[in-house]
Amino acid sequence: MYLILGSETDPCCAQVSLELKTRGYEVHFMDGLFSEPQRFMWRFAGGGSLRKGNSRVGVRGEWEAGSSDIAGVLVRDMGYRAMHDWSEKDGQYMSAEMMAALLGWVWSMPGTVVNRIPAWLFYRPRPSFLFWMPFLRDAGLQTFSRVISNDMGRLKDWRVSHPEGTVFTPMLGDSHFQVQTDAEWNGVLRVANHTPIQLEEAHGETLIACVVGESVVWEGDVPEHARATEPALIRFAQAAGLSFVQIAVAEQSQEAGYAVVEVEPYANFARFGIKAQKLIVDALVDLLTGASANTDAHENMSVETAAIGGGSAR
Amino acid sequence: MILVCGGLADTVTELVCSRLEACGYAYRLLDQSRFPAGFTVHWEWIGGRARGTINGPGWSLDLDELTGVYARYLPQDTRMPIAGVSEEMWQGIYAEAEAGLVALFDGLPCTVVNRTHGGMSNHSKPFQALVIEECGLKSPETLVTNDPAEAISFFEENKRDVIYKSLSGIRSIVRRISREQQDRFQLLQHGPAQFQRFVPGDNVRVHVVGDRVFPTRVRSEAVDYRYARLEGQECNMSAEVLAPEVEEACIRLARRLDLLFAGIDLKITPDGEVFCFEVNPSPGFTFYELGTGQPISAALADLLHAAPSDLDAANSQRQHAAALSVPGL
Repeated sequence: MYLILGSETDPCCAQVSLELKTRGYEVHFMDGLFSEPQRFMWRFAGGGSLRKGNSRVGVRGEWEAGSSDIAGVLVRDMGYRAMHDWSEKDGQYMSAEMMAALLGWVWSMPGTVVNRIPAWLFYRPRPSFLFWMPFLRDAGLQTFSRVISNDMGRLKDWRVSHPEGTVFTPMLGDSHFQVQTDAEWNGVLRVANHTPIQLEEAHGETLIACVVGESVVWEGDVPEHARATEPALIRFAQAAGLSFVQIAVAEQSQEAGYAVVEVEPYANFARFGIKAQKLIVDALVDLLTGASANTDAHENMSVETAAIGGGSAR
Repeated sequence: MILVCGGLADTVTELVCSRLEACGYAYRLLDQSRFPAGFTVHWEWIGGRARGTINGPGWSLDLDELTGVYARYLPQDTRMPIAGVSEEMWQGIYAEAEAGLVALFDGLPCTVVNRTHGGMSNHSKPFQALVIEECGLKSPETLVTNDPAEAISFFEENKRDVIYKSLSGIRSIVRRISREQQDRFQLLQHGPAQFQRFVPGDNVRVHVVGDRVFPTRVRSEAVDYRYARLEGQECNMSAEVLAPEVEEACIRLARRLDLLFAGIDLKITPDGEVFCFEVNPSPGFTFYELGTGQPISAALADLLHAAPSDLDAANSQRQHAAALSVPGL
């Protein structure tokens, strides 16, 4: 049987479930894991018991399965549904407890898991793009230049060397702001009076792709030299321990080729059209059922990599 | 040059700075209670590598000069309010500035104690248990459940001598389950808890600093010796000598987690069995150094001062590790 950690209303989960059922597999959803009516039990001790995956999960009165009965798990949503009558502090505590249990349990599962999120990503689900730089570099992918600075003189130099404009990207959050006019520059320099700011080279149109195992699914038609990045994109995903990741690239120049501009470890399925969505779902189901060559990016990954990541520091 | 990132109100930062001073190792303090106020930084990433400078009060350093960084990452409530700015705004400023520091330190090629990603495993004790086991150390019998019946069964199987503690990195006092608390098992339906068979014996805190190991045996009747005084109990410490295989496993464990400095919690039973409970990525070691006189801070100073011997070799090791297959995981 297959387990989907996520909501039945999530289009990706729903389509994966449908495809699995079409192929004749039993599928169960667990949404809001670890609280009633969900039942969870995991026992371990020394002597290799952790790897045996001695756990049972289920929904009381409906179904229950031991870890060895579960052939694959798709991890989409690890959200915790807060109890309405709990205090904020208690809710945060329970949320942290559930997350901790989930991470350990997912890593104890003997079957295929998509995405068996590494610890460093599990607890920092949307890291700054800078975090991915060593992984991207090691995989042979290019990136645009970036700066973090509150040095007014050097920021002015950056402006001079980027007459086409730049992009202001706060370290926290997902915002990006084009900076080109005097007013826009004055605005970011005012921010730099308080804290170092991150600026990146501006780029043109982006192309998005999902790496699923060893498949790369692009949204729409893309030029051949964008497709040339595919082997490196797969290398990157494997090194980062991500079997399902969304990546955006933009052209630097005809000669320099494409550079990565965005890594989204929790792929946004809605950004893809129907054709690409179908390919993504097929690739995910192939990955879960072992129909594709690389069944689980983590079969090639130790717990060490899960804990620290595979990108080198320089 | 060494960069210490912390605050002088933090006793660990203070001890590290004093030790560096005593050793004659040049260092700069990036005072996190104020940063970025009073500092000018410029870091540029070209081809995936960071280069640049940090200018502090009366000093300037080039990132290429750094042999080591010691980062404490102090809690937000230790930051100085910024005049003329709302509390929400200054908290945002500090958070943004710290995120920049994390991004920088995590990617620097020099010794960094510690890179943040290595410490993330500490947020999940069951996940750490997997790494602990992989490194050759044992965890005691453990149950993680939201099922009251399972908890009761585990409690009875272990002769009603069971402790409970948090699964996550949120600090909690480890306690034995008392007869009165058995009624609370029903509360498990709201979420899971972690139960462990009580392991008798002495706690041993092992500080791993690079390849050096400083074990401290802690003798206390308290279940959680950190809170011995609250329970009216004594807590005596002494330097310990570990069996070579246990010492090696501790070094392996710290390396596996990419922690150049780690505090590993062991318990050694009266018949010599060793159990490992967790790995702390930012150990407050002053308590143990002062209690035993072990030169932990001196070892840390040496580690930060020494230029990394062969980073390329280390990198290739990490790449190799990434390719290792672990059956069953």
